[in-house]
Amino acid sequence: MQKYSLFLLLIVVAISLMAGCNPLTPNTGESTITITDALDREVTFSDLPERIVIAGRGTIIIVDALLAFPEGQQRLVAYAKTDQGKGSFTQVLLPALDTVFANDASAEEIASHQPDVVLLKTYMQELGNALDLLSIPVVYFSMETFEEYQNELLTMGTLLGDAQRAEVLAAYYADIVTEVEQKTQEIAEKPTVLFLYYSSRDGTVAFNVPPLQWAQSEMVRRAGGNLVWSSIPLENNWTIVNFEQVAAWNPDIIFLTAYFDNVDQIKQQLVDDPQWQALSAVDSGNIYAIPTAFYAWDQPHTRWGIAQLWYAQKINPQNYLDYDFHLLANDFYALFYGWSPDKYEQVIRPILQGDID
Amino acid sequence: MSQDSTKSSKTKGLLLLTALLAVIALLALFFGRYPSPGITNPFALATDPLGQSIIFNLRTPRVIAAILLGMALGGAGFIFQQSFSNPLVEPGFLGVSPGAAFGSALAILLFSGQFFLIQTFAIIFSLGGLVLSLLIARIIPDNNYKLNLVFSGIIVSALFSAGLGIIKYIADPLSQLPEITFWLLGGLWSAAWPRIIPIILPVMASFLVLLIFRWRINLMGLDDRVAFTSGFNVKKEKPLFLFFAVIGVALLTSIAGIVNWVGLIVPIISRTLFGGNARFTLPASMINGAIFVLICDTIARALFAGEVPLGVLSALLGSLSFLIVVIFRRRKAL
Amino acid sequence: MIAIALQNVTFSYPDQKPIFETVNLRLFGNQVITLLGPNGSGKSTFIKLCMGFLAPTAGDILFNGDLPVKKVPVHQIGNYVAYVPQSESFPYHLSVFDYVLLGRTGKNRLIQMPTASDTAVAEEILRKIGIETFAERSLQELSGGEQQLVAFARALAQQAPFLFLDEIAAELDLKNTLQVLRLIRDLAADHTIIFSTHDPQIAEAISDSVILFSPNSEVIIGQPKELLTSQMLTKLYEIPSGIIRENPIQINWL
Repeated sequence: MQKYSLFLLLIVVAISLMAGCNPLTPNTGESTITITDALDREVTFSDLPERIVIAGRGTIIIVDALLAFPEGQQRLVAYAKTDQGKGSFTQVLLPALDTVFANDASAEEIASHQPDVVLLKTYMQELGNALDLLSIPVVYFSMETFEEYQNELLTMGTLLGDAQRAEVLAAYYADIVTEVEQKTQEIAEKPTVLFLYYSSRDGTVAFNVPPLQWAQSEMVRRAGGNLVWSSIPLENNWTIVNFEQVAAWNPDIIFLTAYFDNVDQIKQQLVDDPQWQALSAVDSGNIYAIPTAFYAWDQPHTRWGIAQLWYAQKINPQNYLDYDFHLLANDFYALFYGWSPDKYEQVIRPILQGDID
Repeated sequence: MSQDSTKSSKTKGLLLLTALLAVIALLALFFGRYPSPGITNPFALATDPLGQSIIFNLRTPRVIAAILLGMALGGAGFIFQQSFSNPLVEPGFLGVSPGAAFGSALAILLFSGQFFLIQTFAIIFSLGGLVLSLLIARIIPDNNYKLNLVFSGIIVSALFSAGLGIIKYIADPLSQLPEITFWLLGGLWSAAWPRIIPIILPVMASFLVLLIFRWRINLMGLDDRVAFTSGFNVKKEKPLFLFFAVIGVALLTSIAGIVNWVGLIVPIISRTLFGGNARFTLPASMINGAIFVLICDTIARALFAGEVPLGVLSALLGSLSFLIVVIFRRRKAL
Repeated sequence: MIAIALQNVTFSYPDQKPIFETVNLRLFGNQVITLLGPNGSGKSTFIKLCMGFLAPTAGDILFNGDLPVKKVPVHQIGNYVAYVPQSESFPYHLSVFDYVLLGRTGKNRLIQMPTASDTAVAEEILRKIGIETFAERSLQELSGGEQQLVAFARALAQQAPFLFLDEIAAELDLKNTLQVLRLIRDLAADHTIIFSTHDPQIAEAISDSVILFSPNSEVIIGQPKELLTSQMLTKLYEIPSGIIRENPIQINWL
């Protein structure tokens, strides 16, 4: 009986050891860098990671932020596809880097690029766990709200050894947010606003509204909009609304985005449609197509600063007279990616859709 | 005597299959996308800790999971086909797979990330699906119990599918929904040691039980009255053996999602080779299942950069194999 | 003495009127006992009761005078009774030999594989019935008559004293029927065979005892000569019928 129990004990111990095995052993030497990522994980590096890989879904947010650092541009060695159908902005920034892989690549595939660190969105934990098993360091980013940008730009700066640059970038957004919030407070009566995403996938047309916690809603609210769709039950994803509902709301302003279609064409279709003409927003010319170049600007990638100002101007024009958005965009690309005005005119301006003039 | 020679040739066949499985498993360990798509040079691994880590932490548990999954599906498929005297049933049809799917999706929705709960829910709803099917079959007022089971299986599967649809509707599209959707197509991409280790013992125990009683399992295919006079307690033993068959499937489904076709086609092929006697064909079906899933899974993870859902490959290879078997069957094995 | 005794047995399916009421009789001895009656008169039910497959609503069924059927462990039932149904679904693609071996299962321990002696018994039985060439064929390949013989073999493999045959001659052609009946007469030398049929001619040909099942739940046991009369048969089948015994056309078929 005793031998039997001892044997069982050994098995239990062996299994627990294997199951509880933690591949991330702490550094015995002096750790040079410790960062806390978007999931509150502490990740330590003895040296600045030289080979950075960005993987999984939702990569455009992380990639565009990383490439705003010169060190980021040097150290990115491979990334998961960032093309949303209108071309690859990443290719424009790094034409020599063609190690692009699928968004659903496996841990093994990612490992074959020999990363020193892999950057993932916070919802890619399955993939992160697999990389953990291979002792490949993972840092999670969220970067969907203003607060997250402030925190995580600094994290990125630490990761790249350039905290100064991070502060410059963070200050850019802080300035915009401060300005907009101040001017929004001065609005006596907030107009009603509807944010619509037009999708025509699978051949069926659908108008969708975003959840209230997403960046799209947050930015419109900050700009002074009274969100009409906050009253209906919303899912954790785009919620389809039909025209009747839109007519019932009859908002003062409509912001329109279309990730996979030409937003100018879509807006024209609606403006020509007698049904939509009955809406006060369309009738009064207050339906606006959100600017889109490589990416639609309503998403929380680096351009959201311009988008924030753009919403604010549409909602509250008096406070933003003489704002030239091409100039603002120009300044953005110069600050973030070191572009000359010529480059903006050559690369972005020709493909720019939306109400930006 | 002809009986002895049949026995020994079948035994040799089983040994051959086992050897084949061992060889394929070994090859699978050295095949993947690191450091580049194709075969991993074992000698280069000596100086490559990342490569070693991939083999040990990613591929080995995955190969083991594939083998266990194949054995569970092959074994349960054979037992189901025997019990219902119907070569067109597979382990999923009595609400086992849809139940596991529903349970896992529910757990992903409620407790996303907590794998232990996902597995538990999968097992509970999987066995629940089986129980529900058996109960409904009893309630249906008709004496043809086997036909009733087909009906109740359809009903229970439909119920769980509807529930699943609702869950997909509610799920978070960025984190939960892709997981649920991918998982429904089947895949062993999450088969790491922490998930495999807890289930190895119960799964192997269930296999052991089924193999030990494999002669008795032949009785499951008999008419109830005939089985009764052969000493088989139909009311107790039949559900018991079905449960043991289902346990392995439920546990592995909680890791691998729904993988169709294996439980259907592998027993049929095994019967072509080894006849209908569970004494040889149950182990044969299990080993064949392991080989089948192992090949599918190795292709699934190595063919492209991203994972191909296992269910897609098993359907593809399964239907091709089925076609070949049907066209070329020598014995009327179907 | 090996016997199956029914004491005051009443049986009815739930919410239906009784099929039998207070039946008292004993099945014993090396003989053929024929259960005769029109379809639906309860012959199959009677067999299921005697086997222990169904439990009586009232009364007892005893083996050997003192062992209630319901107390016999299920695993040992096969040592007392063997059963051949009119038609059965067979395990898929099992060989005839393996199927016959299934009949030996009750003789062995729960996890035991068939032994050499099991194989020997099976071979002997196949030879005795004359179907040893079937051994490797698949059950599904056989004709109805061949399947019946195989089922017979399986039941015989049990080497149980009681053999219940439920309307097995009903769908056989003449040749197979004769073969089966001849076999039954042979086996009666050392088994108690309970054989149900709705055909009085067959009953007349092979019975040592007869049990009549009339549609009004009456069960009568007796000798063929006294029960297989025009009067009894007309009452049984509710149409004028009888068996001609004087100067019959003798067919030497037994």
